[in-house]
Amino acid sequence: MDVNLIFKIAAVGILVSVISQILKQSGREEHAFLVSLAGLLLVLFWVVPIIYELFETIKKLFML
Amino acid sequence: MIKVAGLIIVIASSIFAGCVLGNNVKLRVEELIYVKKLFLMFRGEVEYKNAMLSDAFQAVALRAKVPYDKVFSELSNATEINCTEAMSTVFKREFEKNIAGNTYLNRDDIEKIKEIGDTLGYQNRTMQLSNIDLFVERLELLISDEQGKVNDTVKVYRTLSMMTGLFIAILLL
Repeated sequence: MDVNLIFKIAAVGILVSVISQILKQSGREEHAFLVSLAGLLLVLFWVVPIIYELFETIKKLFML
Repeated sequence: MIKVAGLIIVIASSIFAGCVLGNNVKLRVEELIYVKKLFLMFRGEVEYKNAMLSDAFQAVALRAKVPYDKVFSELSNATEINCTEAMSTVFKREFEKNIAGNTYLNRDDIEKIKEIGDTLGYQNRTMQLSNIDLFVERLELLISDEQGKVNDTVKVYRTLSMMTGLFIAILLL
């Protein structure tokens, strides 16, 4: 796992929150919701394989 | 180094796209003002010169810019020659053919302008002038609404485009 991933997730979080705020301010709440959802899906796309790898490692470690 | 250059290009191009979209919003408002001016010209021809419809359309066509000159010219031809088609059909067809896609007007604007076509060619002078006045009034309301929103919309487009560029840059890192 690369440490850069943490910075990327943080940057995506900040950008998504700024974009959501701008869209909400301009009255486009549905677009703000879609942007938040897209950001969440993107971060899950990065994080889920790593979590899977973690569980596989734990299984191997305890020979489960 | 190449990566950094690529990221800069991505961010710059998304900012440029945002600026272009913002500019299109301003140009749409100017286009609506121009359409209002054309119909005021037409109204003037009908009211003060007592011009026949074909002459009024021809007079506006001579002073209008591309592609509006084609629309009014076709309308003038349609009224002169013994055309079997209704004026409204010709108006809507010509507007759809020459204006949609060739100007900064969006679909809603074009549909609103096509509605005036339904009142052309079959009413007396007074009714015609009243209908043009009503159309111009509706256009003025639309223009004032859009002018109120244009600065905010341009800012939103520019900010969003910069954020989107940064977002894509982070994805590519």
